[in-house]
Amino acid sequence: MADLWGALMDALPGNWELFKAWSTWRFLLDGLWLAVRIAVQAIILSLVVGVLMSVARLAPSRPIRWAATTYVEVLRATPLLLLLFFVFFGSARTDYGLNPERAAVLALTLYNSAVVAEIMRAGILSISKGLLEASRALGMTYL
Amino acid sequence: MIDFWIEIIDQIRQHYPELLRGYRMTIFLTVASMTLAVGVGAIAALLRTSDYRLMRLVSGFYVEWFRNTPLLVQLFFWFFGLPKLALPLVGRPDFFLLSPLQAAIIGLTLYTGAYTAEALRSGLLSIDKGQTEAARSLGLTYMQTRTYVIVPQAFRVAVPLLTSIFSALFRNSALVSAIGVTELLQTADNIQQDNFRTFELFTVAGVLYLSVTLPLAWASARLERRIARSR
Repeated sequence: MADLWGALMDALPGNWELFKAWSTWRFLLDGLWLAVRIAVQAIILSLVVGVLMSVARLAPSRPIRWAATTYVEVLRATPLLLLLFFVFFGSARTDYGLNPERAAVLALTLYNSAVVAEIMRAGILSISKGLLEASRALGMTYL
Repeated sequence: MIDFWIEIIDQIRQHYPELLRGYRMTIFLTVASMTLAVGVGAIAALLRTSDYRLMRLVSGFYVEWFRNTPLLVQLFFWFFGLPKLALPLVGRPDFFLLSPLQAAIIGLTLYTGAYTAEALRSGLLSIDKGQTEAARSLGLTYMQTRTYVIVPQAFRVAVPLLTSIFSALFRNSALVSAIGVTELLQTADNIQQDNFRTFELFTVAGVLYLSVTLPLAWASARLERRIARSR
């Protein structure tokens, strides 16, 4: 198996010697683990924030609706890299400097929560108004 | 807060030539890549829905591969990786040594092309099969059916999707700053590293990005509604 792997690497164009050493893989796997960690944190946070925002966008109160709409539309329309720079370099200038991982999680959450909010909103809107009226009529509160 | 706005105006006054140059570069990258990507995507979408299995396979491989790897990795590959590969295809060894701009356009085109292909494919699939059968039975050839009957209708369906892809491309073009193209974000970052006006400069850059992406989002939503109504 190992021989086959080695032969395959020799057959490919370019130099793949590096990848025969475990130390290379260790560093790469470290990086992968960091990526997964950041992604999981950001996914959980953006789901929570996104759901809140999608509910807020359909709230009966106009200021809340506008605030949520602005949040979603602006963050969805900004490059992610700009948000990352903004959060990381920006926070470094205040008293609340973030480490890179925290900054990445925060920026990813900002962007993806807006995307999640849009998807959730479409989901909520697809549920018919009759359902809402029926449940209100049965005595459930708005929330 | 007032200080912040004064500072922003001050930064704009000092740096608007650079910022505008960056803005122009970003727009150029987007337009150039989008034009090419529509071509690439159209070919890939036609191949993906063709009757020939091998073509479907090749195109499917392209689309899935480019859609499912990070754009930044692809850009690094074109810029840093490709010249090191030393492919013996062409005589000159530095043939694949791309300039940052070339690598950026190739990277953005191929990445966006995969998404465009998916958008166009969904357009192609939304056209009823009866149309093809009717056209074929009227004596049109396979190619004629596709070019004169199916593609124009498919394109119409795909337009809202293409608008949002364009907007995404505009935002994604910020990533090419990593391979040294001085587009808008890179420009703002350079100035910011000089004078530490971080918030102000990134705010200005953000507003410039929004100046394109927000109208596009509205246009896309309107188009979608109009097409939904015309059905």
